[in-house]
Amino acid sequence: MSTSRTVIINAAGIGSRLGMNIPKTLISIHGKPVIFWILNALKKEKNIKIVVGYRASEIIKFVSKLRNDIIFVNNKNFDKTGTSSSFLLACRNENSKEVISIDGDLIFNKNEIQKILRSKECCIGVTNPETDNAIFVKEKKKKSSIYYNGFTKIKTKFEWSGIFKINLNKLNISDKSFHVYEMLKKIKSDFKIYQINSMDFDTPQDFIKLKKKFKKIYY
Amino acid sequence: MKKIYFFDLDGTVTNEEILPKIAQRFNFKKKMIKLTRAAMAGDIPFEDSFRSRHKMLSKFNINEIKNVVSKVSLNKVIVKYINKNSYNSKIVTGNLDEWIYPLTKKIKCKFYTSKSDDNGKDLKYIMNKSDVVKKFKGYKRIFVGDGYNDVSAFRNCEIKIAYGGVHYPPDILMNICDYYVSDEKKLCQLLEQL
Repeated sequence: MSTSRTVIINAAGIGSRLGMNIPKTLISIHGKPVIFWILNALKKEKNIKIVVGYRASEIIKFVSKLRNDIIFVNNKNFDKTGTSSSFLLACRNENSKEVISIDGDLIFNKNEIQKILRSKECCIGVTNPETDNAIFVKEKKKKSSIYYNGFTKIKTKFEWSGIFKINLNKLNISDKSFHVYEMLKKIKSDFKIYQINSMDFDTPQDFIKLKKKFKKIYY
Repeated sequence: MKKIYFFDLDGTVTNEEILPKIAQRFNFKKKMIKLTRAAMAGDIPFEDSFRSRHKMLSKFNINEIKNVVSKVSLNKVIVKYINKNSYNSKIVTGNLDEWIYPLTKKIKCKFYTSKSDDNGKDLKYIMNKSDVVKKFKGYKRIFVGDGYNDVSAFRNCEIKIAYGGVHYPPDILMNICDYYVSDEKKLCQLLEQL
């Protein structure tokens, strides 16, 4: 029963920097929780896993109202681990050829994401620099496309969105990195860069910005 | 490591709780539902609840009980998966051997149940699910369940799947599970991947 691709949504974290007592994926923006907008953009995806931890049942109950064909993965160490652990936990026992990782606190353009979903190559999504404390992506040119050439904290024209697609066999399942970009750094593979209008929110300031820009980003 | 699948019966492989269905036939469904739900949620110990429910049902004709059970709605997708993997699938249920006998003809794997004598009238043993899974130490034990009486089994299995196809599992099961699924096809897909 092998499937071609699985989308993994990392939604286990506490979101402590934001200071709201609710998982970030359940925070309402433009009248609906973030996870609603994410799943709305992934309507055609047949294989979705959501990694939950902090207040898992609230996320599960909300998502179950939207669709019931999702596998929820329980990250019981959500308070000690980061998105990388959540993502790799969902990859364990997976048998899709490709996996796509999306953070549960990310609002992204619902059309542009299709480029990553359908890409035949490993790829990462980048966006225009917007958020506080961002990670940036260095580029290199290859033929007529641009490819990933490392992460940096020094500003470049591309902010790391948190979205990527990779062949399952390239992953080291036992990697102990905290953040996904730290795990990706160690992987020797070419990642094509796709620009995806997107924004996550780690701080109250980010959230205020995102609320203002929601429509422009999503549609 | 060899895989072994354990399935709870009521509300996991069946689409409805069996004892309330029997009670409906004898016109005391409400009382039975109350006891069944309390046991599933862990509000009263499973043993106490099962003894009470056994007392209520044991006075009725066993053939009539079996007749009701033979009509219990089964989840076709899950039954098909079990029948395809009958050699490494087990049903582990607190339900009584005599009452659920008709289901053993449709679900073709080994059943571990509560035990009785005298056509179900004499209750001999109440299932403790952890006793069963402990026997299979050394296997990759995968348990699919939905109620409070699956907790002891969950704690002794390598992979625990909370299944919410019929109703939402209690908090304790959700806290200790590795996966939660509510769609039977996704459940089978996951079982295949593990």
